[in-house]
Amino acid sequence: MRRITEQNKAHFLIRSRYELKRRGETKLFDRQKLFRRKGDFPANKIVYITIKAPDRFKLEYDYCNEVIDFISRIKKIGLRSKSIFINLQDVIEIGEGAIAMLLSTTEELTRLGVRIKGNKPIDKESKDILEKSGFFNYVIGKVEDYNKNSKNTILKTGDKDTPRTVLSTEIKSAMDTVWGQKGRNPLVYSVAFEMMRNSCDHAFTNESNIRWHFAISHDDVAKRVKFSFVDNGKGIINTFRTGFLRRVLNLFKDDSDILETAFKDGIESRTGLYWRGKGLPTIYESYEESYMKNLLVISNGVFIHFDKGIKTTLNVPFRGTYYYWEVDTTCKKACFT
Amino acid sequence: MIEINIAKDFAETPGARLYSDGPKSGQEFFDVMLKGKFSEALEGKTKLKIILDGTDGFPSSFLNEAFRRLAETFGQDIAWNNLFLISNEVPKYIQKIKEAIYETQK
Repeated sequence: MRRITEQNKAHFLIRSRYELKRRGETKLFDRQKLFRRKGDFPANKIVYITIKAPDRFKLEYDYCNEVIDFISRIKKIGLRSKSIFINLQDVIEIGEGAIAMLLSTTEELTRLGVRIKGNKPIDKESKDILEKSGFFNYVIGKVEDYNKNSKNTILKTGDKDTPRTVLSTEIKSAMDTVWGQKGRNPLVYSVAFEMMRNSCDHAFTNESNIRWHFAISHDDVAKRVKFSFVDNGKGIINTFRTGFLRRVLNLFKDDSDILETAFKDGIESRTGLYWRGKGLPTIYESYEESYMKNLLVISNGVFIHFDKGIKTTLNVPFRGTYYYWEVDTTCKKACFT
Repeated sequence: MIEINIAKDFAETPGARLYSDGPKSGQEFFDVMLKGKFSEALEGKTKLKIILDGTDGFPSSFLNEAFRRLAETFGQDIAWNNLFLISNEVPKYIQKIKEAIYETQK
């Protein structure tokens, strides 16, 4: 029997890929295997492509474009090469929201069979924030003993069944940090719940793909809790564009107008179309009534920071939705025991 | 007066709109509690007292679905005029319920 050469192997792999595509199979193709030739690499060596994070890895307006671009490169390169190394070592400022976004992206890729490795920032403060964030509850990595007792956490779901009681417990703990007593805050709970529901109802076309991450970060000294919510779904604007708004898009100036209007409950009044989705206006209402502050939303190509009055389009669109907000002692108190 | 204390009688952490959205939805609340108690109140020619305090918070879709269905079943004015709502913690829930009851007139 004739021996199969490396050239034959590559040919068969290309054929099998073609066949899979033809049959509509979604199995990912291992490009490394295809391009591995005798002598090029040791047989089992995996080549990781390094993607470097921006020095200021936080989703504030000044750095947002770089962070979104970084996230976008992870997705693109990850899907292409299937083995990536995320280099965070030069990061000198890091935010919990960006960490949640990174986690959300890496988990999405991991589910698709992408191998991911990475390192931590050399900068001590950034490294501590990363270790305390809850990131390493989902990613294998060493956490220093002094960072293990953090109240910070990242919640995630793998399906449509929202873990309401877990969320409720975390909100009570957040109120302890802000007001010094554990208690219910129905308004903050509703805000978080609406984000999750929006994610479940609109962001994903396939129910089994529903994934969101919700990061809660406590600052005991400042008596402040930072909340970040991220999903990698369709995004709010794309949901509207493909949904009931598609016939009346000319009533909006641009995407940022759509997003701002959706929060400020103007969709119905602007279009005359009755709109059942009250989730986004409910979020904005709690912000407007000062139960929370610093509300920031990134969805598809739009960045809105309501406190700072920033409404802009990003250079690189983010596929999905990101929310950030804070509760501290300057907010209206709602804490019931 | 007939009374429902949602936190004690139904759920401390109410869910979303429909059964398909998970447990303790607005639809479930209407089916298993609100509809029956409201009928009972009407038969007894009294109002139905609903205590909204004590929960972790209501998703907008929960209140909307439960009370929209109440209005659909009994009529908008009958539904609104025979409720006695208590919401000291978050007073605006009462307005949300009113909007849900009268939403079909929009």
